[in-house]
Amino acid sequence: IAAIELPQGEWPELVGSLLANMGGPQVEKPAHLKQATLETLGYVCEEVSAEILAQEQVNSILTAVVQGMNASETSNDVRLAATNALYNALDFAQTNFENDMERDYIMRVVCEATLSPDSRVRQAAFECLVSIGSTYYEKLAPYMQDVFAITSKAVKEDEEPVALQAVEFWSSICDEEIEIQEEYSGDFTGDSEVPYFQFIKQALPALVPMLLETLTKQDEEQDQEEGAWNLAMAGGTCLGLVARAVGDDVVPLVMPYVQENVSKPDWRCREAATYAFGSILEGPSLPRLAPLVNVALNFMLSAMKDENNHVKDTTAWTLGRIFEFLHGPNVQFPVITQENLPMILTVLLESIKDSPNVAEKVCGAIYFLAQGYEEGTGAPSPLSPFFQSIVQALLVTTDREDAGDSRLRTAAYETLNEVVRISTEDTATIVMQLVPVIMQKLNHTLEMSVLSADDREKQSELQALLCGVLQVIIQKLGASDTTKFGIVQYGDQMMSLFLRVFSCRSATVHEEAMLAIGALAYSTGAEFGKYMTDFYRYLEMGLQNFEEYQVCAVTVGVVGDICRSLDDKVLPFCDGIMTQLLKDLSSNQLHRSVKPPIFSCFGDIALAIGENFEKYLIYAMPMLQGAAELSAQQVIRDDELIDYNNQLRSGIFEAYSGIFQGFKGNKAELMVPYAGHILQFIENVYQDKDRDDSVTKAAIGVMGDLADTLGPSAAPLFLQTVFYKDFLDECTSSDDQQLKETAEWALSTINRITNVG
Amino acid sequence: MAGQAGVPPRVHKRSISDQQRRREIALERQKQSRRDLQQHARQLASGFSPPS
Repeated sequence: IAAIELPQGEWPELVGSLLANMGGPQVEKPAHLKQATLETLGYVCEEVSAEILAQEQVNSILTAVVQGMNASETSNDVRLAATNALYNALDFAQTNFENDMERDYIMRVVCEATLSPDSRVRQAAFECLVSIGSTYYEKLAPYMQDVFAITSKAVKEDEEPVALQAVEFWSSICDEEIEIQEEYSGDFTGDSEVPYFQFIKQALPALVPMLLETLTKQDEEQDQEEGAWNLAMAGGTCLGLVARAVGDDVVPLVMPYVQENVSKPDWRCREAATYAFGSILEGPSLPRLAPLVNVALNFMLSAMKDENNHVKDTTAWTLGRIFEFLHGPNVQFPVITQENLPMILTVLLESIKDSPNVAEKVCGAIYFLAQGYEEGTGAPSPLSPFFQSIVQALLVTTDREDAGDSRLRTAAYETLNEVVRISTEDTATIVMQLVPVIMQKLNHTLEMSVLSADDREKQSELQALLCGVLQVIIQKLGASDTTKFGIVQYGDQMMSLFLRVFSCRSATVHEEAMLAIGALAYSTGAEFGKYMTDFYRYLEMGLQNFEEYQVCAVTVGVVGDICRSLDDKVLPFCDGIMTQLLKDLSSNQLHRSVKPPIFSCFGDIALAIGENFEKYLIYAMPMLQGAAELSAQQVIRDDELIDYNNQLRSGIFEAYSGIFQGFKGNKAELMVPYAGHILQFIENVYQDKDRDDSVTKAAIGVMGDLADTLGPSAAPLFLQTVFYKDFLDECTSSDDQQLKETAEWALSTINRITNVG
Repeated sequence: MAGQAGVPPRVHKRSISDQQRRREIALERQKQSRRDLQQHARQLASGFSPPS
């Protein structure tokens, strides 16, 4: 009720009357009343946003909460309720954390609560510390020594739920420092709003041993249980974050542990050592890691035959990390060579037959191994000799009876996707042979008996995966004229399957089928027209899907594919499509990320149907102008909004380009009334310091399209304008060849119509 | 409220996830096709030779 009423300025007495329940120095209130009151305050703080409560109310709540947490409070239930309430009130405490004395007091009470005799209170107090670590990183310096001491004690001695939170504190500090570093490196001025204290680097000599100690506290069943989380997992995850935060410095602290434990008789030691090694593979530099990995690789491959399942699981995961970070066309010291590749694949293709959890990690390793060969030169890939065996092994894996465990089936199909993506011309036949195989599997899912919600879920999951594989294959084979026929010949059968798949009500399946259809439209070109009558209703359904906005977004993209494939043959469907796109744009329900692609889609439609776009102009132009004005007035608050604004502007420019190009010749005069506004918008974007490269390219393109389409009638506009020369100058001196050439073309077009130069 | 113990707060041994990649690749192909077509229209407009 408070969540509804307080934002409307109602129930002003709520906080005051709750606080009265807490009593005071002279008036002791019953423990159960204080507990219930603190729980209520906690819920109120959780539900109500920070700006709703006056600072005075925040101060009173914090005073009551901190009083309830104090060691002098005799009831553990009250202390627990108070600590939980503080967790929810921390977002409100900005002003209090600015004040040294108030902050010291809150921190002292939280730290004392981590020593409470009640483990529930200790756990809640550590949860508060985790939240403070993220929210008030810049205020932590004076407390870090004490915090290290109490977290260290908890990790070593306390019950697991408490120890987990103590580890989480360090993970959250890593998150903060990784983010700060990313901010520094992305912005060459070196400015960051948050100071960088390097807490992790300072704590490293003590922190790493503490984390390593957790790694041998595994659970017997951890790799078989979905959602398992224990101290060893938390410690290893934290170690991975530490490596990302400090880079090379972590290596000498971890490697002795790895070397000492990796061959011990106790499986816990072997698994822990492997996990430690795998965890530090992201962060340190390649020259630092490569020699270590080169030595370790053979050992890892033989460890895939370890007698213990957990050791094999972690070893396969580590191999995946090695391939992810130390293998690829841009990797300076690649660890995979022509010489060791056969051995690696022999081991992986043998181990993929292991238990589902191990096999799933092996799929991951094959995925990253394949990914490393992505930017091939067109010559046969080093993987080509093994291609058939890899594909075969993955297909066999998808058919395993236990493939439903540990996400194995999903991992196998997704790995198959990557293997197809990196395939080269010499293995195209094998990829083509996959089409009927996957179609047959998809057909099989349509005949599955569905008796329960569980069956339905399994069916949807499988259909989504298979549509995904078909999409990847269509895209791969459709991209080359020499292999396109492999898709075209199955076009009718595939389309018929996709249409049947739409009858199953699952957003993910719809999205995957839609993506596959987009790829098919791209590959088959004008021939796709024959499917339009049957497909149109699903296209419209996708555009109407506000709730599952990804489906809507993907469908908008497919409309673009269809426009490019069908050209003016798309016209009979355009009334319906445009009506729906305009509704989408006007909707408050639809996720905002879908709106920029809708504008781009206007451009696709206009370019496809040319002068026939005239009848949509009176609807589309106000939308475009409105969005342009809105984007110009936007008060930029964060990077996300900057990014969105750039996407929106690119979409608007792509729409204008399509419309100008479509109207060139017969209907150019229709755009004359809009030209001034469009140039004004381009000027506005030119002045924007946050303008990105895509926006620049699109803006320059529109400027040339405007001049080219309107011809001399646009000359006065350019002659009255100064900015365009500066903008074009900036672009013609760019290092980006495409931008430079578009700008040169735009300049020569403008000069032509204005008779300059 | 606090007290979320038992729910893994982080991903342990992150495994592959291809769905987002499929979306991104499709989106990139569409963007590229649009750019190519608009460049092609400009090329036709004035004998302008677009970058390959």
